[in-house]
Amino acid sequence: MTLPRGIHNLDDLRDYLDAAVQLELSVIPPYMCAFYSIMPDANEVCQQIFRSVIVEEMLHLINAANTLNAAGGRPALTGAAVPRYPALLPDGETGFVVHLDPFSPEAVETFLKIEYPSRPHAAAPRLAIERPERAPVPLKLMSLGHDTVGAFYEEIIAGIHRLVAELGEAAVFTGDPAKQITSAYYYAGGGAPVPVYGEADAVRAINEIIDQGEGLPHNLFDNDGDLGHFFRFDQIQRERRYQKGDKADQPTGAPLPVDYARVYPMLRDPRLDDFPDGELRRGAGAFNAVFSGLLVKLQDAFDGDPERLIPAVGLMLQMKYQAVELLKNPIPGTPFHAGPTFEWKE
Amino acid sequence: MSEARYDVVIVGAGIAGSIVAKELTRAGKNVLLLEAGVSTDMTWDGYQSSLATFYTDLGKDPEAPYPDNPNAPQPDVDDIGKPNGAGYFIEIGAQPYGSTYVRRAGGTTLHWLGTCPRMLPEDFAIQRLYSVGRDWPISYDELERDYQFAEMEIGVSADVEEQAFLGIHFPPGYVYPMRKIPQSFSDHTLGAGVNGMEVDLGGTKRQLYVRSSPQGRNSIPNPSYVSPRGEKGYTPVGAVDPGAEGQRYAKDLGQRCAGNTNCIPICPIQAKYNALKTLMSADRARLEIRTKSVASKINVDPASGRVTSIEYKAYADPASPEHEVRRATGTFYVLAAHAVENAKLMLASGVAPTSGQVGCNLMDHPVLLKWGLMPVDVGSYRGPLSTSGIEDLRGGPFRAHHSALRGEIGNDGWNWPTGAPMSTALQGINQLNLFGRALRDYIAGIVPRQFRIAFLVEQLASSTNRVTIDPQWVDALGNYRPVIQYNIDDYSLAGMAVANRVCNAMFQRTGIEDWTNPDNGLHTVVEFDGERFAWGGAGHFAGTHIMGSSPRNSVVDSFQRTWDHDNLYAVGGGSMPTVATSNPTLTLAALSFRTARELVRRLQ
Repeated sequence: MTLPRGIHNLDDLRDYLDAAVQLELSVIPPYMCAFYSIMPDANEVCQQIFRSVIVEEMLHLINAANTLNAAGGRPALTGAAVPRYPALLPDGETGFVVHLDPFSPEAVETFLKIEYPSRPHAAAPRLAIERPERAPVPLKLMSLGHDTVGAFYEEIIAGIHRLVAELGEAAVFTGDPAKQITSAYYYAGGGAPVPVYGEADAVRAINEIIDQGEGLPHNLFDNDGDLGHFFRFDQIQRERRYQKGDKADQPTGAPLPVDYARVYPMLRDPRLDDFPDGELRRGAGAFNAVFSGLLVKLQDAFDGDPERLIPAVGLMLQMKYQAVELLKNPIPGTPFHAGPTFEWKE
Repeated sequence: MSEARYDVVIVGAGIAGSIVAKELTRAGKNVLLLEAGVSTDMTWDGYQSSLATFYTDLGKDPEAPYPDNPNAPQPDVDDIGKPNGAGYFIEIGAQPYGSTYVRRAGGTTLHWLGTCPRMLPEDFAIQRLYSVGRDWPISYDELERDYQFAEMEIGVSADVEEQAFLGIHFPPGYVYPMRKIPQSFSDHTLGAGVNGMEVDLGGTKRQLYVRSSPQGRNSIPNPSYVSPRGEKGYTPVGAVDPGAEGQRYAKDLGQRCAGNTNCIPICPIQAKYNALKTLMSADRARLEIRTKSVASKINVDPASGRVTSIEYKAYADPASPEHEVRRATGTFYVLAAHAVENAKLMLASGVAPTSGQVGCNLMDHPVLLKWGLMPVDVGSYRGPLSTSGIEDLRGGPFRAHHSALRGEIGNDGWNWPTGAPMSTALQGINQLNLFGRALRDYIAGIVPRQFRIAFLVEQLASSTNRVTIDPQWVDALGNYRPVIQYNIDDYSLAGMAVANRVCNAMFQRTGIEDWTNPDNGLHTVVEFDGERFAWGGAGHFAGTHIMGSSPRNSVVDSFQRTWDHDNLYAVGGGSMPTVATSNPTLTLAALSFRTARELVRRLQ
């Protein structure tokens, strides 16, 4: 599906926000694979980095969905909206492919590209190491051609301002306020979700996504004192921590030793039919059932029933246990281990 | 050696000391905090290292994450009932004192359960009402606002409608900071059998009700919450996380309880309150924390009776007794080192002698444990360790004759009374000779049905239950070890006999198959009033420097100021004249706010 570049009317805005929801959803499974593939007692700091980024991506998903709901659209999280891997990011970046990979230098390289800053402190571009084993699955809005996630969100903000100036705030934000997710039901790093009832809220919600991902324009750390996602991952690649006052690309904190050997060697982009009949396939199927059940609960929450987020927390913990069970087990006759396949299951 | 003079010197970085330190520094006062133990858990990495210690420890007892430090030794559940010399406590009474505490920054809140009930209004006046025990110099109403402060600081999750019973009252419109933690399926199963069951206690008729417990665990914030300072809303406080290089990866961790069933001995995500959350939110610019500094002597000017300094032994390495004696000076001094440690320090220094009550009136909640198998799988070993209680027997005229009681309903199967689920597996292997599939089936058939209830009974203050010191018993630094004389009287035993009968009826109504075995060697066995049962300690230290209305009968006044020394305060559970039936932490936290406010007033 391709669309003309630019936000010219309300439908364009909803399409962009729809893509934003899918973008946030599509980065979570790759981060989770890297996180859960690390052996339990290894790479503790890396595990913390992944965990802290994942919960903030979930917050971004909520902020994007809140904005879409406020703009009179409907976030889609189930069925055909579920990302498949390998994937090209839905903001239209074409320079790299996103895989489900175990924790590895290649995975970290991809994550750096996902979180690549668009602001003035940008680091030098990096070369991709690509090993696509399946054709990348194009997600939405392939022709947008943004260089970075940040640029994509900046365009959404500009579009919101333009439409509000043209049509008036009330004509843009026509959504049902009861569908907004508030901090009562969701909690995560870097603050609470932003319920969106108008232009200012929408800009705040989107800016929160940009700032947490990339750091502030003149500071690697955001307003809450947290290091941006790009720089959190950059520490892994450089095997050294940033500290306050550091410049981009030049961390001067403590060494951050990384041991890529203490990782379960998960098969890249696994799918259910990669596993032989038996325990592994059953386990992967069970994981997908929980993953899909979680998406259904999120969908219900975005459709106006936020109480559904409460049992969703339990499902997330269950997903972790099931993912780790898969990751611990080799696929017979291969050098690889199984892993969660994140496939939609009706 | 000349030292800076502080507004207040505090001894002990547990919940009481941390609240006083936070309140004083935020009011612009300069505070020195002396902590006997280490401060490992004050950073994210340190807390995680305690978690790692717990994971690798085979015992999993409450002290598992917090290894003993010979320079600031602590009691250990493994030592209870053993001959003197092995453990920290020297026992000279008829019964062992069955409770423990932690000596390091964060104190015993590092391994507390987190249950936060308020005391009943009648608990403050049992002598006047029932002619037993002692009365407080203040009433529930005088402490009510400080309960609100304590509930704010700890972050208590509960619904007001459920907590207003037996006279407990709240100001109109009050809500707890967070909504109640959902009750477990096990609680609901018990409730289906027990709710409405009538109990007759010497003419006082009560209907039992499985009621949600107020808990110091993070839940969904109450949007209509207003703090006693008038601030609207509440943000749950997650993990303590001053990370390396200023990076905080973990502060979002623990913003909600995730039901890890590990509150004791260590919450893996810090969703359960610990005192370091309070300490780390003090005004750090006005707070100096000196760890590995064991207060050893309080110096008093004989003419004025005022404290002039506190001596402490500063050591560098817990494994070596090498230390230096230093002195801390301030305008006021606050002992917040724990009921037993406060008493020890006062006795070692000969302070507050007028009443002769220092060290006396040591109390706990003797606990009667009952366990059995639920008629259906209830998912034992899931959820917070306890989410509900039986509160209906905590007050009434029967207290003239026997102790009041509170039932704490566990979600941790038979872990407390038997060491299950490990013991369940061992029984299958060793006693039943099972292996393979049969062993798995045996464990899977029993473990999800395991149920336990603990009845905590009141113990009255008695001058013969006491902490003393003896020069022949000292620790590695030459500081006294506590010599404890302890016994349970008939008033408490009669309450336990009642609890035993009530439990039997509850089990019968719910269809719980009774597996209670008082003789399994883990607790003290008693026969009383035709009932045979075992009891242990609850970890609820109280007494030792009780408050009262006069210097003749008590150690401290209602502000926890020692009657004998105008600038010396002793705070914590040690000040409580009755322990009644509520877990004491919330009440001692409320008292700490009261003391902090008084100190700020006196420092103006």
